[in-house]
Amino acid sequence: MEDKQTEKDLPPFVNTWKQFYFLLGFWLVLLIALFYAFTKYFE
Amino acid sequence: MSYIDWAVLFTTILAIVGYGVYKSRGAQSMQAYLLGNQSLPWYTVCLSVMATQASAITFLSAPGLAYTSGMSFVQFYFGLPLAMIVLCITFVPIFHRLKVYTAYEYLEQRFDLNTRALTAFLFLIQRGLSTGITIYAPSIILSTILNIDTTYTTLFIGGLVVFYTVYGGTKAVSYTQLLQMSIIFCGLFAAGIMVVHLLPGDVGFTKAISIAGKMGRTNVIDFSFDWNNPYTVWSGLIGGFFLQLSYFGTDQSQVGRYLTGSSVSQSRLGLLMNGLVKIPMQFLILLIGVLVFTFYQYNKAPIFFNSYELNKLEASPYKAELNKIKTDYNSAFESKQQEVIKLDKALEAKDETLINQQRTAVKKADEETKTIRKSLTELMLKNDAKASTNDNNYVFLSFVTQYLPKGLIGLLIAIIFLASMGSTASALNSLASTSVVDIYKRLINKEATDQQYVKASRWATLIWGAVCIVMALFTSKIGNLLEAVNILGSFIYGTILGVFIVAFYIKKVRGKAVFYAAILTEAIVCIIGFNEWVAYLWLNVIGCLLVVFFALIIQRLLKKKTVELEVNH
Repeated sequence: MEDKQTEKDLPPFVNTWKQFYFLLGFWLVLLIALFYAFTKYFE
Repeated sequence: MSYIDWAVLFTTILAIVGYGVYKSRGAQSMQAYLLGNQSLPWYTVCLSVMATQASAITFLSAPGLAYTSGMSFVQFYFGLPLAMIVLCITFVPIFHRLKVYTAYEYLEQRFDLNTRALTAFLFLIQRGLSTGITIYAPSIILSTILNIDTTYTTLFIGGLVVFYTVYGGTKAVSYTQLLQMSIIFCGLFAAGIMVVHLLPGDVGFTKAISIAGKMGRTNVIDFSFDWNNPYTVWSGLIGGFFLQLSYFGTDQSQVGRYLTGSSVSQSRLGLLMNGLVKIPMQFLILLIGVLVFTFYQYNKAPIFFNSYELNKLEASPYKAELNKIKTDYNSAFESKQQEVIKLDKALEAKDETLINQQRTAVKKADEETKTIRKSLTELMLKNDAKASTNDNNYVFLSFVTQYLPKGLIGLLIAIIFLASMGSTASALNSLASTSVVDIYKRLINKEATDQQYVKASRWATLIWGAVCIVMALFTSKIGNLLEAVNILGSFIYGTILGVFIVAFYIKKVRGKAVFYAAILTEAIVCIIGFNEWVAYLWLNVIGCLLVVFFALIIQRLLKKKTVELEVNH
């Protein structure tokens, strides 16, 4: 019952929760890459 | 502070408390008082979770840390988005489905009463002790800045929080946190703009960061592996992941926040948005510290930011030595300023050879001022062995009160109060819910009515509030307790997380095995922690893995014993 309700209640921007988790993982990798570029650029 | 600042400070705080009290009126059932009727939208959950984690020290320490040693602290949060994903897949749906009030309630359904009571007890000790510090730490800083006795700032913060938390329960906590975080974001944004505005005319935002970068303050990423350094990519990703997972998954002060979401999806979205926003937010707070650092390359910084400690030394027999150090510091600053101006010009001319040459020169000048500051702190300790020689927490507030315009000073001081109130409120609410749901309702009085439990929850909040305030007042008498209590979380979180990991993922392990595994692990973690064999972040990983390991072994031994007994019979 809970799972059915969750499936109906989808996250914004994407089609499934799984895609949202991947988006968050990608966001973390992107941030680390940007911070690395920031460190190198300003050092 | 001017009258305008005092007016802004009191208006902001009282308006927020008033709003929280108004929005939470009429909480008469356990469901309403402890879970806010599970009716809150994702953005309230997200801001509430963020406000719970961000104590006043977050906003005071981080800019100070960037000022003294750079931006590497941001790596501490790298494990957070990953922890949010695991929470959303496992913890959140289970907690919602079982309709629990506390995380520990689930452990009785999965294991037994002993395991539930043990984890609830560990939580009460850890959270009870650290909440006193959550009130005390900003109180002492605010009392120095505002020139008011610590007792009054402690009573003011503690008293207000206890009032609205007792009155409105979890809803009052969430609604006040919603506004608190909004004001905190606005205030910090305004502070960032003002720092850039106060820099010399030809030093813009990018150049300000370049200058700080050449002096080693933009070191966000460190890929090296060091067991004893908590601020590297690996300790942030691995150690941070376990710490954040245990904090958000097993600490009732956080579980209580996202259980107020109106559905699994709203709770999930609140947590995932926290995962999206937290690292950039922390980066921006550190960036403000970096900008303040550049500002002080053109304007002379106080030799020591904690004026209370400096005044103590002024009034001591070491005044002559202090004056000598001050003279050295002034001349060191002037030479450093000249080098920074040359660096500024080299950056303007984009002359790489000159930039490299000046980078070495400014770093050398920076080291010289650091050496002078070190001799000052040594003198402080000579005068008073208990003197506080770390002034990180005073850097930002000292800058705010000295250089920012009227009104904004009041707003930024209000932010410190609000941050402290936000995390304290969540802690009191969680201490009350664990005391009532896991101890009082389960072990002492099983047959009371819903209204009686609400009454008990209000009393529990009041009593925990009083205990924490007394502890905050008492902490001022025992200086070195502060750090010990801050690290205490890592001693306990790993063990509790291990219990939950076994509960969720290893179905064959039963209550007895996990209970003994948790006790054994806690003993080992305490030995490792007290001997400081690894940086405290790793204690979470070790604790969690040991519980899983011991639980599997003990379960196997118990099974063997049962089989042998059956055979003998």
